[in-house]
Amino acid sequence: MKRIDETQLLQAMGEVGDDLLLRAERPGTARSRRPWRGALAACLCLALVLTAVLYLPNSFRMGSSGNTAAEPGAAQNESAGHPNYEQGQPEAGQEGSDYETAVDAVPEHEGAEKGETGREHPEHGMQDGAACLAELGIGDASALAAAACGGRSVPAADLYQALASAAVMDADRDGAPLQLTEQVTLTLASGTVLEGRGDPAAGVLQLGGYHFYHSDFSVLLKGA
Amino acid sequence: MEDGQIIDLYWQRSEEAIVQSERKYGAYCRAIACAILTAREDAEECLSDTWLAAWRAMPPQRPAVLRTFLGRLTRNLSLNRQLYNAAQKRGGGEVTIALEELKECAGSESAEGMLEAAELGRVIDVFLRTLPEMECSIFLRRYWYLDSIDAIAGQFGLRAGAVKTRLSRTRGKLKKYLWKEGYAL
Repeated sequence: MKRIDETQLLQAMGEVGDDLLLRAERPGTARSRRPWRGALAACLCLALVLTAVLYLPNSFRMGSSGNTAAEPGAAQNESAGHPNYEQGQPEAGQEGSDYETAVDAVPEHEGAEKGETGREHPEHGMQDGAACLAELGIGDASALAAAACGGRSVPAADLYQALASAAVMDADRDGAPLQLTEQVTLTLASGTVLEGRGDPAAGVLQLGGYHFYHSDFSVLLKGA
Repeated sequence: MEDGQIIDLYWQRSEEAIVQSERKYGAYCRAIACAILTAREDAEECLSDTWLAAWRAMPPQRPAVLRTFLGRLTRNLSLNRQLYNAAQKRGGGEVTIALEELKECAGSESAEGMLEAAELGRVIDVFLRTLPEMECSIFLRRYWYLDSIDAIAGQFGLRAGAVKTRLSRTRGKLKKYLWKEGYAL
């Protein structure tokens, strides 16, 4: 049995192999011994994405009975390959289109960036409904003098209530497949006429570049 | 310049070999010397001695890895200088602390008879290869490069306490391994 002291041990350490010394100069590889941090970050990111994907689309539809009615139609629409959502938003330059008419009735909206108005919620393209109505000139119930859908008169007060409590999406960002088949005309107390389109099955009224979601539209905008 | 070309210069007895060595590995060797020696002047002297030792060693030697060859020379020279300084009660630094730490796996009494440092080094080399890569690297950073605990913690992204714990465990393993290999503790 040989006896050694710490000085000999320290000096003998100098004889270890070159490969071990070179490896010890790369501590970056050793850091990978804590992979759980990266995995945790990845899990958190995944959870956020799943929350966004699964939860938010439902919140846009407000969880009403109109939602369930909208889904079969939407699926049918997609399978046909001709989404009416696109038909309900004619391309710019089409003279006399309902979309342009509605926009023209609200000149202050023209050319405005949605994200710059301050109405938009910081996430998901959701809009502040009250601000959108004010922008359209319907600041309160008295501002809406009359409403009609497909030539049928609609109670203005009821329509206003639905609009005021609706969830509002920017039409350009709303990817929901809609069937905006019903012609809607709103006459304001100021004499301005706003035209829009409705999807009663989905409970949606498209007006002035916004999609107003409310289950009451399923009843109010139903064809005569 | 490639290591092979620098070694060729040593073999050709060209003083350009020292210039190129210092240019390529001066910072590396200086870092080793400064980790061991507390006095800057001592470190610079050891660095100069490193080039001289390399000049004397090549030829006949032709090192496979010039970097570690020069680093080893610097370490040995610096350790000897530090041990001398410590004996003279002039300075302490990381060597003194490292020696204190190693006391627990090496007997405090002097070795009986001459011990082949190369043989003990081989035993330690074999032991280190049984360790996980991180434990081995931390151990070498501490007892070969003489890095401080805080420096090692920074290099490996660990807390100082975690580094101490890992070093303590490795010293314990080394103690058992040396015992099995016939080295009395």
